[in-house]
This record gives sequence, C-alpha cells and structure tokens, in this order.
Amino acid sequence: MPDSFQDIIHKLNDYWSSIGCVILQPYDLEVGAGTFHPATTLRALGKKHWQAAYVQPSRRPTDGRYGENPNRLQHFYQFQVILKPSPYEIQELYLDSLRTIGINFKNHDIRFVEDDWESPTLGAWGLGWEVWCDGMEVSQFTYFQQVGGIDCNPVAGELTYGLERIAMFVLGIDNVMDLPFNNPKSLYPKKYGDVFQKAEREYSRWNFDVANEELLLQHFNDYEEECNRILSQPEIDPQNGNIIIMVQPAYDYCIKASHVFNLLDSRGVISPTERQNFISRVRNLAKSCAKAYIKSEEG
Amino acid sequence: MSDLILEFYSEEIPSRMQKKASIDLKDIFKNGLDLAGLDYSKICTFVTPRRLTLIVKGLSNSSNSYYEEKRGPRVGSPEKAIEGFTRSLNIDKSSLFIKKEKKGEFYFYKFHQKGNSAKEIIAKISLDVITNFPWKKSMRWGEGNLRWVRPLKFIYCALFENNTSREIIDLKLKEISSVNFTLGHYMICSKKIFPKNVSDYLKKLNENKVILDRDERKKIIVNSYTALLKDGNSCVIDDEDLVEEIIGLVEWPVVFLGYIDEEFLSLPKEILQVTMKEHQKFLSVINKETEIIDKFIVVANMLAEDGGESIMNGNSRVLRSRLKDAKFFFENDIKVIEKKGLSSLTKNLNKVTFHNRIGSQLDRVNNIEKLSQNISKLMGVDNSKCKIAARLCKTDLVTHVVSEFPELQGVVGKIYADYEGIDQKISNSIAEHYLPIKLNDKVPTQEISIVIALSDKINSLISFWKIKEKPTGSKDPFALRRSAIGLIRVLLENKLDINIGELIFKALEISDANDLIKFLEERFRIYLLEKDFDHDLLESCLKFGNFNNPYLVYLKIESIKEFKKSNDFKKLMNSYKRPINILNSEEKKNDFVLSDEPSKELFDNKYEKVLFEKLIEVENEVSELIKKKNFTLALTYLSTFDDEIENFFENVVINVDKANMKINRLKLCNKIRKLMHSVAYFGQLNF
Repeated sequence: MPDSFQDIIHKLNDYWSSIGCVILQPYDLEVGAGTFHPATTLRALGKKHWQAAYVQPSRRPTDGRYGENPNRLQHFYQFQVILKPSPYEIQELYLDSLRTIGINFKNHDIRFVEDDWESPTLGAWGLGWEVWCDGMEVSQFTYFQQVGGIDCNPVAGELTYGLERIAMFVLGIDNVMDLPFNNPKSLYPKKYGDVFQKAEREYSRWNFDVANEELLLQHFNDYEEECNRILSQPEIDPQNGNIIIMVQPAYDYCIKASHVFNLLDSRGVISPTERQNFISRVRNLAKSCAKAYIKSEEG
Repeated sequence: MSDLILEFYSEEIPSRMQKKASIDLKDIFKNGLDLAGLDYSKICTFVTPRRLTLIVKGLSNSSNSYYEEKRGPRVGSPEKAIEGFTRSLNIDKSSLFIKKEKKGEFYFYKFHQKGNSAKEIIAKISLDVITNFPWKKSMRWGEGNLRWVRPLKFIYCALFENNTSREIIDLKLKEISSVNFTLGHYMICSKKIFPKNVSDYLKKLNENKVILDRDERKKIIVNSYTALLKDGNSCVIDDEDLVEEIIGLVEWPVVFLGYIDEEFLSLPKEILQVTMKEHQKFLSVINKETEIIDKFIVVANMLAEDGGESIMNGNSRVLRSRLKDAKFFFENDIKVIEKKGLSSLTKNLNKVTFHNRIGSQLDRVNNIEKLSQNISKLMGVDNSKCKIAARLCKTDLVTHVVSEFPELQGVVGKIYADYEGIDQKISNSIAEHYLPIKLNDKVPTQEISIVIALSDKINSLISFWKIKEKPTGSKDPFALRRSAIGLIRVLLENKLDINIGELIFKALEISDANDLIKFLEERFRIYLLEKDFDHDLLESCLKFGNFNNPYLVYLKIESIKEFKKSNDFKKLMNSYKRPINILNSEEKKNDFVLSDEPSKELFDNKYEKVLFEKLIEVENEVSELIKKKNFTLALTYLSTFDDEIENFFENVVINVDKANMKINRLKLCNKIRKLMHSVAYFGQLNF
C-alpha cells in the first residue's frame, strides 16, 4: 500500500515505466490539463507509435477556493498516460495500474461510465469514459479521434488520473489538505496543505480579484501574434539550409494564450459572446500547430 | 434445425445507447434473414454494458433454392443486342424464352438459384452489422479502421445444430477475432465460457455473474430495494429514466441502502435528489411521513468480499463531499437572498447570454415582462403581480445552485422566493412557467403562472423567428417545438380565449408572423390528431387559415365533433350541400359578384322570401352565439332551415332567363354559404 501522495506518483511512474512508457517530466508552462503537454497533443498526431507517462501540474483559476474547500483546487496534479496506438488490452493495463497503488478489486466497484471528451480550445475530441471507483471519479479514459481538427490515425488512448482524488481515495482522507505528502514517518512529515494551502490562498485572491486584465489582454494578443508569426516563417532555415518547422515553439504560444484566456475568464471580464470568440482564436492556433506538426518529420 | 448465438463483446457501451442497440440488432437480423429467405422460429436480442447478443432459435440449415428470371432485350431488337445479352450470361439463344409484359414482349432467361447455407447467410449479415451498425456516435481505435461505439474485443458466433454439435462461424475480420468462447463478468468472473447450447450460454453467464436480460436486472434492482425498505416508512422516489440508466451500468446488480448525514437533511429535497441522481446515479429514498429524503439506493456492479462495506464507505464519502458542495452553494445563495432579496439578481442576468443574436437573459426578461402586461390585461389578471413575477422568473439562472445543476432552473427560484416569503402565487410561477416540459407534464393552472408561461413561450418563439432560427427536420436546438406545444396546451387546457395572432403580428414582420402562426397551427394539428380528432374535422376549421386564437378553434372543432353524431348534423349538411353545389358550378362558368345582399324587390316567389327571412333570423342568432363562443348552439341553428331550403329548391328555379333574378337567387345561396362558413367549412367534412 502506498503511504503518501508522492508514493502514489512513484508507483504510477514505476508501473508505466515497466510497461515501456517514456517517463517524462511536467511541461514547463502553465496548462489547464495534462492533455496540453506536447507529448500528448502533438504526439497524438501523425503515424509514429508513442507511449509516454508523466505528472502534469494543472491550473484552473476558476476552481480556486482559497484552500478552504476539501476537494477543489486551482492548482492540482494530473498523471497522464498516452498510448499510441491504443493497445488491445488498454483497460487491463489501466486496472493493473490501480492495483499497484493499492486498489483491491475484490472489494471495490469499478465502473466505466460514458463521458465523451472535448476540448474546444484544442479542437480535439474523443470518446471514452470517466472511471468510477465506488462512485468516485478516479480517471478519465479517452480514445482520441481528432486533435487540432485533424483525424487521429492510429488512435491514441489517453488515461488521466486525478492524483489528489485518487490519493484521497486510496489513503482514506476526506480533505485534500490532510493528505500526507511524504512518508508520515519521516523526520518532517508534511501534508498537502503544508505544501500548497498558502499558495492556494494567494492564487485565489490574485486569480479572482487582482490579476491585471489589461496586461493579460495584451498578452493574449501578443501570444496569438507570436504563434502565427513563428508558423509563417519559411520552412528552410537560412542559417543552414535545413528544413526546420518550429512547431513546438509556436505551440508554446498557443498554450500561453490558452492559459491567459483562463485567467481572464476567472477575472469575470469575458462576456459569453466574447468567450466563444476567445475560444475559437485559441483553437485556430491549435489547428495551425497541428497542421504544421503533420508537415514536420515527426508527424 | 439449429440455434444461433452471436455476441459482440466490447468495452463499455454507453448506457443510454444500449436499448436502441438491441432493437437495431434485432431489426437488422430480421430483415437480413427474411431477405435471404432463411427460416427461423424465434429471434431475440440482449444488451449489457459489455455485450450485445443475438439469439435465433429454430434456424433452417439453408435458404430455399429458387428460380430467378432475368429480362433481356425487347423482341425485335437488333441481333447484336440479343447476342450481347446471351454472351454476358454465357448461354445459347435457344435457352431464352419470350414473355409479354406491360411494355411489350421481351426475351427472358430463367435460371436456378441455389439456396445458401445458414452459415454463409449469418456471416454476411454479421459483417453488415459490424460495418453499418447505426450507433449514434462511433469511434475508431488502435490502428484499425473499423467503427464501433467503443472498441470491439471479439465476436462469438456459434451455430448449434440439434443441441449436439457446435460450429463457430469465423467472420474473417482482420481487426477482430472470431472466438470459440465468451467471458463472464469483466471485473469479478472474467474467465472463458464455452457454451454447449443456448440455455447453457444463459446458465453459464449467470454462474459467472452476468445477467443478460435488462428486464431481469431491473426486476432484481426493484425487488432488492423493496426488500431493504420493507420494514420502514420509506419508499424510493420513482425515476424510470434513472433506473433505465442504472441497468445499463451493471451486469450483476447488487443493491445497497445508504443514509444521508444529518447535516444535509435540511437541504431542499429537489437539490438532494438531483445531486444524487446526476453525479452518483443514486435513487432517492423519501420518508413517507416527514417527506424528507434521508436515504439513498446505490446499485453496485458486483458483490464484494467484504459484503459491500468498502463500496458503501466510498459511495457515502463521495456523496458527502458532493452534498457539502451543494450546501455551500445553497447557503451562499441564501446569504444573498437574505441580504438583498431575489429581485436583486435580476440585473445580473445581463451577464448571461440567452442567444448571442438575441441578447442577454435580462433582455429576455424585459420582453417577457412586456408581454406579461399585455396578456394579464387580456386575461384580467393583476398586472402588477405579473410584472414582479416576470422580473423574478429567470433570476435563479445566476444563483450558485443553478449554475451547478442547470436542470433545477425554476425549482430553485421558487425555493428561494418561498424562503424570502414572496407571495405564494408569484413564487409558484417561477417554477411553473417552464411547464409543460415533458409530454405528460401538467400545465400551469394558477393565473400568474399561466401569464408568465405564455409570455415566456411566446417570447422565445418570436425571438427566434425574428432571427430566422427555426426548427428544421430533426434539428431543434432551442426546443421551439416544445415551446409551441406548451403554448398551445396552456391555452387549451385552461380554456383561454386569447388572440395570440395579434401579439405575434405586433412583434414580427408579416411574413415571419404568418410563418410562425403556420408553425403553431402545424403543432396544433399534430397534437389534436394524437388526441383522436380526425383530419377532416381539423380541415373544416383550419383549411383557410385563421389560427389566431387556438382555444376558439379547438372549441369549434370539439363542438363539431360532438355535433357530427347528432341527427341535426344531417339536416345541416343537406342545407349546406345544395346551395354550395349550385354556386360552385355557376361560379365556374361565370364571373359573378355575389358578395352583396340579395334584394327583396327581385323575389317573386314566397319560398325565397320565407328562406330569406329565416336566414336573417338565423344569422342574427348565430353571430350572437359565436360572440358567446357557444358553437354547439350555433350549429344547431344552422340545422333549423332545412325545410325552407328544401321548399326553395323544390319550388324556385334558379336558372331563369332574367339575368338579374338569377343573380339575385345566387346571392341568396351565397348568403347561406357566408352564414355557414362563418362557423366552419363544412365542405371539408366527411359525410
């Protein structure tokens, strides 16, 4: 049995590593979900086979509750697995991963409940389920059908574990802030709240009331422009005459624009009509990046 | 004779698609077998989260052989054409024969078509199922290009002959293997099963924790919770949709009873019920005496080794955190209500879009308010109360609870209005103005609720017609058909004599207004046809438009329906037919202007004078009765001059030489027609 939040992460890393996944580190930009990591969004496109797993800190500014809600956080961790093509026994692989973190199927009721996934900002969608363990949603399970408006072929299977939620379930904790972060028998045992409560309070205030709207709006426009500018460069690098399509740098700016949009949304300054407009602007960036990726050697 | 088991074993099929899938599978196979001419005695289908199964009993071993005739060129065609025909079939001209058809004589070739084996036919239909199954949403997986609702794992297709031998039919698909076994319950008994025959298949599935039949799973669930509750004062709140959904989530239903923590019992029961249903798929249990929801039913997909303790702990914990959220939202809303009142939320509606080309919810409320003032005047209802109700009716859209549970719109507004102590009738209207939503919903009957319901529905229709967003085919994203039928039902069932045409014409350009009224009329027709009103009846009152006042039209239709059963109806129709027939034939020949009154001076026969005077008398009565909406009596009056008509046609010649006299008599006939048509177009009725 795992004894702490970090132990669960280790066990998942070990398990998926033993399956043969590339174990990556979190992407170094602010994202709303593990899906945004280029290891998923971009690698889901094209023909090449790919298996990877990684932890991704995810930010959802509107979900901030000043660290006072037992379940909601504006910054949390997802564990993300991407398997392309989706293997025949993907469900069994997933269930085995739950076993390794201590979920015993003799006493727990696992259910795959329809939940189709769609990311309007990424122009992506897939079919799948949310996975329930005794009525608690512990993962999201998706077969990618399209990313950036482009059909996925082969199809990638994506598994997303809500790490805090799973840890609370496995360790029997009701409030996320009470989760043991490291081994409770350590010299200095720390709880999740010891690590993150302060930051939750600070970000909640900033997200909701203080973030500079004008600055963010300016950033959004700049990021959009930069993404397009990168993609409009000639494919041949004049320095060395090689073809270098700068997909990932461009995609970075798409991610940045998406995050700034989320911040603006949590400031409550985006009207519903404008919302649609912002979403479609980010989607256009994602689509351009997807198209560029397909043209590049990896695609 | 043989029996077939065909199982499509897949990853979890979405619950809402299962029932339709089992019906579709049955239909496809039935058609396929019929088309192939393969006899069978019984066909049925089953569905669980992981399998879609077809069982056919008493299958013939092959389809009957039959003769087929192939038509060639026409007799007398150039020799080349005939040669081409025989060459294509690789036969000699001597084997052709000549047959006469409607279009002439043709050469024919008759040949014997052998029957196909059951195995071939089944494989062919199965392949058709896999490639063309009408899933509402389907997907690809892995590296294949097949589509199914979720990845298809394998196909078990077995033909059992006389209960003695078994043959596995290999569908020879690249992506999916045809296997000689199936599996038990995915999580708890996932071992291979090798059925010996159909009943052994069902038995072995059952032993391995799979109940194949939806109805049986349902029965187990209902019986189990009834047993769990038999000693108490509680019962499960009926929720057919939820039960249907649950049986699509389990292969082996095990029912548990849970208790809601004390601290949440004070939450309004609608909020409790929706929280449990939407997020957890729990059934709500209500105490019959206190009317409090204090327990819940969980249906698990397995019997656990610890007897379900962990399962219930987990489920209760999730529910607790959900309810904590709900309580947090509820209490936050209540704080606002206590401090500033529900009405303080109206202005926040400008932040919520109704439709981006129509405006915000605040714009919507302003329109509803205006309409409510008109309608309350027409109905004689207190318009200041309607004004308050209109301004409150959408406020709950900006509450926390409705943001979390949109399906509680209206209900939550009412709860908050009651909390604030707002006039009961106004508060009821917040919930009731959405009604009727489903087919069997009651319509609002309190005056203020009616005014707001009508205003909201008319406003939605007008707003979307203005931007030309009308329902087309199966697409009706703004549920405008529901608004229309709701509007009609509220008017009819409350017997409301309101000219909605006037309101619509005031708000829209003529062509849009006409189009909307036509749309309403179409809904009205469908509604009445379902209620067993005949088509001819509807035509008699709707043939020439005039659908401004639905209730009056309905009243008329209903009166005629009753009146048709009486003797007076025959008299009426006799009085109607003769003058109309004459007018029809004369008007075809000549271009008369008959609209003005006949002149008395031109009458030279007492029977036409008598008829004329009778008509004036009836006319006065009928127009009074129409004003009083007493169509039954008006109809009776229309049947009181059949003698006068009879005498008129017996004794008066219409086609006289003097043109002015003839026209005068036709004008008299026209007077009858006008009188009759002032009530209905009786010519449309079957008689």
